[in-house]
Amino acid sequence: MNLYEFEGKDLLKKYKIPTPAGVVIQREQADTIPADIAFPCVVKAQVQSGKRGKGGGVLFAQNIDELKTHVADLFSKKICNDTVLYVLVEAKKAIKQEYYLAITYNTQKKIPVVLFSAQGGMDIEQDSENVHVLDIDPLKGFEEFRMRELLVTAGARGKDVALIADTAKRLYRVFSGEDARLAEINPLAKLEDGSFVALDAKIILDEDAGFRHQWNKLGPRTTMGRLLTQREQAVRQVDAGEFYYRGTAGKYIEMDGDIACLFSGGGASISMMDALLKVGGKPANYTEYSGNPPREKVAALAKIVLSKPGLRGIWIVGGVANFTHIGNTMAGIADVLRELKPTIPIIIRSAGPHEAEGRKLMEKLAAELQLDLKWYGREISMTQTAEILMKKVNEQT
Amino acid sequence: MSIFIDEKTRLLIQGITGKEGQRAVTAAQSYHTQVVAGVTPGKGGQKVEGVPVYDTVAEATRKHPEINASAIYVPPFAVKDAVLEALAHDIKLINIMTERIPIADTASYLAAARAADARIIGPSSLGVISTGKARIGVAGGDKPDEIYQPGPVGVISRSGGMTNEVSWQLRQNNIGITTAVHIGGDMLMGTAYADALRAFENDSETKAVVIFGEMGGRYEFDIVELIQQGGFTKPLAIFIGGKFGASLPEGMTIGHAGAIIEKGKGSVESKEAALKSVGVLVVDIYEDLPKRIQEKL
Repeated sequence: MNLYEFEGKDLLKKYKIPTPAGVVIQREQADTIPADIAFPCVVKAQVQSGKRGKGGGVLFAQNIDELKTHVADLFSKKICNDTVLYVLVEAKKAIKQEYYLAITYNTQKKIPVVLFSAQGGMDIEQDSENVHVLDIDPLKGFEEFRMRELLVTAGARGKDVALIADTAKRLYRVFSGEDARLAEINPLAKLEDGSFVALDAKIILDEDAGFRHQWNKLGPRTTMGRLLTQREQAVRQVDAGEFYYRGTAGKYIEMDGDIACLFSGGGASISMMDALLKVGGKPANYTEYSGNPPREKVAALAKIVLSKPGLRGIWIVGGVANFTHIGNTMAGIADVLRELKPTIPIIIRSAGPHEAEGRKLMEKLAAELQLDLKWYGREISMTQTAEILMKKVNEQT
Repeated sequence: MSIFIDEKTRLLIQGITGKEGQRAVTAAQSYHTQVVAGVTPGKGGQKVEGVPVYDTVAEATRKHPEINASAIYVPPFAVKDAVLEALAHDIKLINIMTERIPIADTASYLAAARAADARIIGPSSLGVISTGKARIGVAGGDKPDEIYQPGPVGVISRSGGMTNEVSWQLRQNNIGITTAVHIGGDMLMGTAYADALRAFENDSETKAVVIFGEMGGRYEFDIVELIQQGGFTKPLAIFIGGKFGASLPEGMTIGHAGAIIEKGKGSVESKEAALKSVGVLVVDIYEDLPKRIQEKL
């Protein structure tokens, strides 16, 4: 889960990393600007992209009129394709130097790493030769002396060494204590008085650690650059609850197309999105269920996917399953087909345990309700059924 | 030969009394694999499919010193402790099936496993199957012989479902399999592509390898590095799914946790170009994996 800058800064403050004083203005309160703002100030759109500076999302105001104009302006448009739900207003700081400080995982070494550069600011990813890396042994944790050594190597001197190392130590506490996948301060600014302050914060939380945090208290955020649709919100509830990790049926992203997709398996799902696009199909959604979800979970998911207006085809596809009960999962989808009686083409490719049961059920239902449904098993590949579906869909119009 | 597991594998199942654990016992027993003990704290003294259950790994390994592998089926919050327990009792192969484990926990037990010189497969793994010899997990489902026939190709997959689907495509082309391993879709993997390829390199029966890959991360560049260093010399064919992810906003996770769209980590196109430059066969549709690898056998 991507945190907005102001949420990330709340976490930094919790671990006593200095941030500028600021106020958050919510979209629905855009007209009521707090009176206690000091000028000049910086006005920042809260979006999930790291490139908002170039996208016009960071503005400066000298007085209250400019501030009002900027706030209205940022809420009126998308910044980096993201709807702006919050604007953060902070006192503008006189900066002496900008540094880059981040902690994330190195997937090759399979450990956390601290990244530091004396040249912070934009385009840090393109400047990898100036980035210094400190490997962290998870069995030892963060060792501050190693950070000081790295800072000296990177050219830091005097008081800076101690202050930046202290910030890194605290940022590691944020990273491990809050279960982050990324904790980034860019820029970490040195002010005229020699102190350091985090001018930005980018924190990505590890959703799999949600059970040991209270993240449901965080405010709304965008997905795909917009607020969740009603159907997307509804699907999220499907996997909620104590046994959230037993069988997945809660992934659903709405898209602009007209082919309803019910994919079984994570790997199959992303490959079949590629396959559908390749034959000119436009997915109405991305959806995946896996891990042998119970009939009720599949039915709840299928109902939401298949009730999107404007569909022209339905594609139910999965690889040769290992242990997912095809009979049961198909029964969940059949419950919904019986209720909605779609008249558009339905193509199924499914195989695995109890596949005969699933096929019999679906073919019987198709005959009874006169559905335009065709079942394929393991004799053809998943990819081939994309073509078959699109041929049928195009014949109908 | 085969990699990771074979007829000498003697399996412990941690979390044996849960639904998934019980199914794992049947799956292993029905495919040439001896499950010698199980552990569920608080349920010692019970039996699951004839397999004795203990409260601790200490007891299980004392009574059954032949145990040389463990499959982990405990809930996400208990995985780190279960893995450390297995490592503490000198089990050198640990296959973690549990999904949605916090990444910090994974980083921690992987470091402990490296210190103990033990191999972890997973997390979020469906398991491993060595054709005709053994399986941990449920690859191949209730009819593994319909899909897994002995032969010269190794299979590595980021996706559980696609482990089976790709193996089935090989079967349809009459290509047999030494070992198929589902390495899991997480951001941190105990056995990543390059680790599995090193193992296949050392297996004399494996003549070639196919990989089902997913976009996200920089794991494919590790393959390129390994080949450049001479660490893998056999024919290799790869499919990378998820090209459509390039059109999504950064930070979105689709498919598996590892398939996150991250800034500056390389597009599918840049990975494919790097792989091709070291002689890896890159296919556009997964069912072409058997056709391309067959030419090299």
